[in-house]
Amino acid sequence: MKTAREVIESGILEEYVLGILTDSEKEEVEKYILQYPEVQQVVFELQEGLFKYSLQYKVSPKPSLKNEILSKIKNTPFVEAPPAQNHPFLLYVLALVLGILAITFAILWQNEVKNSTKLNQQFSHIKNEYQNCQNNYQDLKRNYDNLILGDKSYQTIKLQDDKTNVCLATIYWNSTSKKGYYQVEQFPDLPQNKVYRLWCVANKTPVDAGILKKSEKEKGLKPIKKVCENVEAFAVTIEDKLGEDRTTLPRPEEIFIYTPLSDKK
Amino acid sequence: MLTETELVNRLKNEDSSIMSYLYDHYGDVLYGIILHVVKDEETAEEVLQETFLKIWQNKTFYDPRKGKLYTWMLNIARNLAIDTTRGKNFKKNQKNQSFENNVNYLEDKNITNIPTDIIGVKELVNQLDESYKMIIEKVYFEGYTLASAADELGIPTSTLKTRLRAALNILRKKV
Repeated sequence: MKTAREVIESGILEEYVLGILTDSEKEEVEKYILQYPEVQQVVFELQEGLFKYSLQYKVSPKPSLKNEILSKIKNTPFVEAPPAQNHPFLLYVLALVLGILAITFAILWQNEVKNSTKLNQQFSHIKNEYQNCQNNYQDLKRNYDNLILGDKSYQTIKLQDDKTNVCLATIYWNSTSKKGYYQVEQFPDLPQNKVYRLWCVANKTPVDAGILKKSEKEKGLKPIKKVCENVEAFAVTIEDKLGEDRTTLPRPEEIFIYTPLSDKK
Repeated sequence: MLTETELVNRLKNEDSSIMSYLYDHYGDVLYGIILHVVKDEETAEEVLQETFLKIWQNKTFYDPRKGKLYTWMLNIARNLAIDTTRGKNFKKNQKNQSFENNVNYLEDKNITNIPTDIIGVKELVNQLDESYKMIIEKVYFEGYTLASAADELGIPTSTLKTRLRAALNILRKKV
């Protein structure tokens, strides 16, 4: 980008007003005219100088010519854009630009198709892998559950509603290792705003062991998240759905099931 | 007299009555230039008609930021006239009249309203060295390229450029 002074001193403005520049040079000068008022001023003065020089040739045409010309103009519909043949160059440029755009889009689209095919292949591959892992996991999980279920060191505690004989969940508890699992069994539906919460009771104090979920029924044994010394009972409360963890002790009216360990090992 | 802004607004608003005004005020300058280039009255009349049609049809392309309206019109007339001399049907023998003779038109013809002061045009032109005038004529009115004008006048292109610049700036300073 030149300064206004550089543009004025370069002599390009003189060639501009004489109309002898190429289209791209002309465009460049017009950019400067719009950018620098000083450049615009010089261009106007140069144009006016040439106009004044041209005045020496001033001649009145024959008087009848005026009406001929004006009636011709009246009968000529105003054309918003000049007819195409006036600017075939612009049309070529337009066609060229459209052509380039079309080709670019075609290439991009082709790449897009290629990419999306590739992505689809990768996706189905991952899906297969995931399914395999899932199957393997379920096999292992079943084997593992069977090991727990067959392990005599775990005692079984059924969390059962005495009134209806519905067994909500079964606890498998190892007093020695202080490890336990639960299996959700039947799951009587609750109102939307209520949940079942599991508690371990140790030293006469209930400890939050998490919310029981219906979806866990299909997933086999789930480890009890809290490990406590001297567990003496398991309990389930029906309580308001407030959050995953609970820090307050359950109120008596919330207690749904309370099952003491039958035989401490 | 209408101001430049009023002129341009009326032209851009498709007020065709403005063409009558433009003809009255600039018709003779434009015709004079065309005649000076094509050297034939009948051809000049046709080119003048073409010029006014083009002014009317291309009015949306006129940008006041790039020049005054009358210089834009002058360029349309000049370009159409030069194009005509390049056409197949243009008779070469019409090119004989020397441009110096045309200065006499100033005394001969009626002078109507012109936005620039007509007084001093002759003095202005006379201040230009003959060699300077020759270059303006070749390049501006006969449509020569710098190289071909330099060839024709038997001087280097760089000299021609320097003289052309000097000539234009003499005209510019006197405006």
